[in-house]
Amino acid sequence: MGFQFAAGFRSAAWQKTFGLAGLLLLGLLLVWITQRQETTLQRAQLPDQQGEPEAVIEQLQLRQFDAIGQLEQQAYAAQAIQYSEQHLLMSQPRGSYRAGSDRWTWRAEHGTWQQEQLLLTEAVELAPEEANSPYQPSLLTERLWIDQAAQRAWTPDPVALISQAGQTLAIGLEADLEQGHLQLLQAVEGEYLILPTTTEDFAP
Amino acid sequence: LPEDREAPIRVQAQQMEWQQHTQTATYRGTVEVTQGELKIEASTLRLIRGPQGELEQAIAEGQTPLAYMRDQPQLDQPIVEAWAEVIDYHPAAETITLTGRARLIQGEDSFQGHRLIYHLTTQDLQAEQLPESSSDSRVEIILTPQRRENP
Repeated sequence: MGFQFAAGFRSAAWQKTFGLAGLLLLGLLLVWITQRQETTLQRAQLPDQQGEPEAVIEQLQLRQFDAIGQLEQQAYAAQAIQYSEQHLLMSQPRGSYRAGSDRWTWRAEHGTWQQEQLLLTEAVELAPEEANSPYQPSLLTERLWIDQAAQRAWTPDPVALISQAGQTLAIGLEADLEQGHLQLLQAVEGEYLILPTTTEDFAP
Repeated sequence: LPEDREAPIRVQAQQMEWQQHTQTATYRGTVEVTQGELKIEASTLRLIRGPQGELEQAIAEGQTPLAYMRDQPQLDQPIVEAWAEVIDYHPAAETITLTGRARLIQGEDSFQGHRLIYHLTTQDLQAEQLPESSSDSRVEIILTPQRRENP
């Protein structure tokens, strides 16, 4: 009897465990579905903050020419969301544009174009396109505003000028891109080699 | 020290300007330059590089106070200190040219003139007065004889 009772007791216990496991699986499934919906919902939430987007563009390529057909600027982005003619959000943007006699290239994780002003954020890099010497520095920072009409760039954040000849760290930048004049505003610390390295950029 | 000549140059300052077209960096505001034991303090500094990116010149300037330089030529030798309106360091030639109210002291010896050219490794020194200058700005050298130990 004991055995049967034990067997009966054991089969009822099995049924309970299977039931609990099934409920647990169902719960996990529900959590997974709601999370997936949330991420897709996030993209759909953008319109509430910025209004209804006019377009979502994958692999954006943009070129602008001046009156005599010379390439003024070009930009690429993995994805761009356009809210109005004057408002464009870009991810992994990069581009170049002409300022005076120089051509400057820029890249970042995110970019926002709004009324002739470009705000680049996260892993921002700005550099002259033709490095006319082996120690031509690139500018690295986390946020950078570029006003293309005034041909100026600026940031209040920490910046680094890195080249094969050395590196300069500072806080804050004002750049006149037409004149090719970069001013580092405070707390400047530089370390320079007497002879630049031949390969990659200087790293102390 | 001799081996300092290969060491990187460290610069601290309040501000810096980078001129893309002339590839020149100008530092302003409590500028401090160090390369091993060599130290220069000034109000402005310009770093000028050659066509291959080699550091050709570091020009430090100061009026009040004058630009200042300090170096330890060898471990067993006294420290060298110098002051001038312009301190012009040429890494390749290992020379420092002091111009304008230039003064250099090493231990108990002192040198004064319009321009002093000091060789970091050999410690040779050339002194020049201001061309067609008045007599009071002539070169002045004070060498203190070594005291001989009593036999």
